[in-house]
Amino acid sequence: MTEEALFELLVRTPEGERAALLERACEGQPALRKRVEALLQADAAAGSPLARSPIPQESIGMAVTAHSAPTDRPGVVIGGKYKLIEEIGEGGMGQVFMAQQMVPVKRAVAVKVIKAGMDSKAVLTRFEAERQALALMDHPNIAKVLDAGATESGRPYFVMELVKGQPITRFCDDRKLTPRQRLELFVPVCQAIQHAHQKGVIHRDIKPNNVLVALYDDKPVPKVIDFGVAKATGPTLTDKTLMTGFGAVVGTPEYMSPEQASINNLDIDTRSDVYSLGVLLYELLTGSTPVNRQSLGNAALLEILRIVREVDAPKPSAKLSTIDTLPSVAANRGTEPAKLSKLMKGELDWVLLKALDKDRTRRYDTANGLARDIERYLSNEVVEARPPSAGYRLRKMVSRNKGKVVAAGLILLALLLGMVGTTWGLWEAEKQRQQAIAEALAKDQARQEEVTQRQRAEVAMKQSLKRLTQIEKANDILGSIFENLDPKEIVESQRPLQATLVEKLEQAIKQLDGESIGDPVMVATMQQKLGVSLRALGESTKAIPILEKACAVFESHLGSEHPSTLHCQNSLAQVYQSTGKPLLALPLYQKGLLHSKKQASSATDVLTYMNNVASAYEDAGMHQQAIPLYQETLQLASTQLGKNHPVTMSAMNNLAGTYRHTDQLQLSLPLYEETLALRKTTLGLDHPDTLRCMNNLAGTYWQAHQLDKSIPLFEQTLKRQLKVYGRAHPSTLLTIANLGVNLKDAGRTSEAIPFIEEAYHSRLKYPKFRGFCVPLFECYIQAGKALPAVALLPEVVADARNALPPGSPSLADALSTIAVSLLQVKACSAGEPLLRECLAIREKKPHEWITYHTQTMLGSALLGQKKYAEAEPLLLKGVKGLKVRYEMTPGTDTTRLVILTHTSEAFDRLIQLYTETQQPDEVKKWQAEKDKLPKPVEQK
Amino acid sequence: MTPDQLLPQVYTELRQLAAAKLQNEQAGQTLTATALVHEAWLRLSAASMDWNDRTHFFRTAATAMRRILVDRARARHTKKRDAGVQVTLVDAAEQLPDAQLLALDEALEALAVEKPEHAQLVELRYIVGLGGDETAQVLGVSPATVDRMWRYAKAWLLVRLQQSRE
Repeated sequence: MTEEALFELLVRTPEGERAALLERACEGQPALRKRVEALLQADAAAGSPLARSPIPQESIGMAVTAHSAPTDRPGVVIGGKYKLIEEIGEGGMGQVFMAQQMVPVKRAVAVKVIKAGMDSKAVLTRFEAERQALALMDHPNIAKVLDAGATESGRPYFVMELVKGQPITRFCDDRKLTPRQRLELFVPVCQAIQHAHQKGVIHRDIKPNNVLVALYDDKPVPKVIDFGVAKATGPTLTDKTLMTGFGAVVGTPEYMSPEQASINNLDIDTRSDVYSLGVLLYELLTGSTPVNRQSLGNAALLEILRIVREVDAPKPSAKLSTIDTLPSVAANRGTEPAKLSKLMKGELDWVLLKALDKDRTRRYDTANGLARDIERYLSNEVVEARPPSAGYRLRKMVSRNKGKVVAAGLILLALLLGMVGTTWGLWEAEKQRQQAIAEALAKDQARQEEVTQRQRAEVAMKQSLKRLTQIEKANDILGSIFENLDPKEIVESQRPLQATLVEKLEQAIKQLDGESIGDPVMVATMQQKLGVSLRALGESTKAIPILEKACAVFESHLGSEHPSTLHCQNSLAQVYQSTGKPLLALPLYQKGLLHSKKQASSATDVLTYMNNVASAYEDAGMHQQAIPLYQETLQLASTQLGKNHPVTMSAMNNLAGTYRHTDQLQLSLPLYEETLALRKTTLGLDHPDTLRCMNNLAGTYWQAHQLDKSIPLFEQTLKRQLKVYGRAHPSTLLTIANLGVNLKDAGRTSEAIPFIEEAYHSRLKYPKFRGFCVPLFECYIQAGKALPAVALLPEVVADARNALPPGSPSLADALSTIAVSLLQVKACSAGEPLLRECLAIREKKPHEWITYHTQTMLGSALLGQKKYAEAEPLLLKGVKGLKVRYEMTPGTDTTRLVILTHTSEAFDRLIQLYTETQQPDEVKKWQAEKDKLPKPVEQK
Repeated sequence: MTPDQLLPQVYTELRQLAAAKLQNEQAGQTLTATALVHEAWLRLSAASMDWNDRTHFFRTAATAMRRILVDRARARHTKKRDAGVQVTLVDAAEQLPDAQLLALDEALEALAVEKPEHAQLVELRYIVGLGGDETAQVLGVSPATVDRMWRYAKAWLLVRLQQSRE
């Protein structure tokens, strides 16, 4: 019997009978017996028989359609506590049962048993990962997921709150709800999704079958079900799954966001749910989904996915006009075809198209955003969504040149909003004032004489006029920023929009100084806005003076405790901090913290200030103060605001940074990793905070010598920053510099050079990059590039002199290192003066071996320049000295080996000199001397 | 096309795909071999008519994928190699630390000498992550046979790995 056959026989044999069988089969073959025993042991260690693949079936999973276990049917008790009562639904994913939970409480629940073929262990592992988050969800429109497990037959199941309802689309159609009623019913669905998002749960599979409507007290209440199920089961098994030729399954395409429809759909965030909500609303209103699979017939799966990814959704109003079933669709909505089309046109079109934008950055940021716009529509307010306008087309054009303008565009927007806000506020105030005057006038009329009355009216009139002029002037100044700002021209001129914007802001600031607007507080408000914008553009230094001015004005006019004063001081402190003046920032933050605590302000305010104070401590190098404060902030923020709150994430990121700077990398890395994961899901990948965190994590990997992790992460960060900030932004440059140095450390010199060069070349603008002359120098040396290395020399030497005391041994060491590098690339004349200076320092101890060594190095530099007469005495002196030092050093000393190597090299130089000056006798003599030395290898 | 002609093409395609993915990947996400192989299949089968033989493709892709994983692991691991490493055959190959993957690769080489079909099966199930039925289809045997062979191959590999560790 072969080994394999015997093994197979034995594994099927009950364990008690194995020994005897083995004994018999292997009689006289001890080797075979030993071998089979080892195999059986390994088999036992590997676990039970593997009926299924050991691999979690993620990404594009393999469909297993054949088996369906018939064992889970009404009457069966699963998980020891759920008695299946009746089957209430069946889909591609599995069966849904109404069940009776028996312990610890008796209640009716819904049990969804996933069909066989899925790796239940993987499903449950993924479910466990989400369980914590799912448990936190508590919302009247969410059906709670209560439990999960595996049935006897190995099928995973989920236990949910039982909802006796209909899919929302069918519910609406059955009751012929009007579009308005449908919208009202849809708002709580958005709110439910929003709630889940706040708890960190993305649904991933929103569709009518997962949004059920049930009647509670005769009121229709929508309930979203199946939270956590899509994530746990992966995109592999959903209703109406599609098969490709070889059985790979991809989810339900109609409700899928474009990012989910990509083959490798890993990059999914809350905005994917917003998209799916959009599809659902589209169907509720128009009766069909934007991509209608029936109409595509049997189009290839890839084609459908392509449509989901690339083809913009047709306007709902337009879609209505193309469908044959319009009359019945309209009838189901209690209206007439023409009316329905007309209703959709305009704002509802815009709302849906915004939710369904292919580019998720243009969708509603949150599910609540969509809900609010629907509510605005319902209460006849202006919706936030806009039709494609001139601005839209402009953005489209700009998007072709995305990198340069995205960041600037955001700032422009912020400025515009600021401007509108200021003006509107003033206008509103003015309106109220005029009203007050009018009332006063009306009252006065009875008592006052006509003359005084007229006088008063004139004064009021004058005041109004003055105010109006002020507003006009202020607006002119702010408006000047946008004047002549032609995106097309900017794109063509190749000049970064950022630079243009900075220039315009500076002009506006000057104008603001010169103009006598008359209302200092208003000027200060504008100054603050401009200052904050400058900081966002990376021009903090320029922002300092105007923010200082603005703060002074607020303080003197409104008092030092006024919210505007505090707000402006916070902005000022931020600029101080980003320009390396943490000690100026600290008192301002501390004042803010004290005030916010005193006023019992919101938790967000207090915690923000705590975080800021801690960060100023940190920047000032006061780590011992920073760490406990960060820890406290993080702990309070996590409990009071939740993990996903910006302040929490900020504190987390900062604490990780402080750990990093105090070399506690084992604490820093996991914290950074957590922050990054949170920011990716809550803020998206391109958010500045996410990018900063990516950069930090990469830097920490580097610090922990994990170049295999740091380099790819730096590369990713850089790619995103180029898109978001453009090349010239200091954050981008910092990543470029870091990436270069990492590549250098990994020995990838030629790849490193362009990056380090780029960072170094920006040193005039950003002095912090000055130090990059050293790694750049080292790279040039490693790459054998003598000329650029020598060109950098003055700065490299200056860097050493700055850092080290003049005449000190450590300066001598640094100079000698630089010089040796230069000799390596044969830049001997450049090395000579350094070695002379080095020798002058070391000669204070003339009999140290290193002094002799320096003499031979200098000799070598001279030799390289063919200055033989000068080189000879130095080399002779050096060789002799080194030889004596070598002989005097005790045999076990490791220094001895070092000296020996240097001595041997010194001999070589001397021999080289005599060879070049054609003195064969000397060559012979010194060669013989050298041969007396032991070989360095033998020494070991 | 013979497997020999096929391999370089599949190998190149997979490597390019993997490189492109790694560039776009966010930190912390591992790329799954299964996804890669499927994507390569979609692309190659769309690109040329010769690619209709899916069984053929998967056999080749499994070998190519293994090479890629091993190349990557080797590049990262050159200096850190231990004398013995412990391997547990539980998770997907791509999630193994480099040292373990390399040890597994060696053991697989040995298995391929003695039992080529078993080695192919391990590549398909373990490296590419095909399910039992899928593997059976590719190898042209019954799912039950796959389960039997898989169990034996696993035990065989574990014994081999233990021996090389001792």
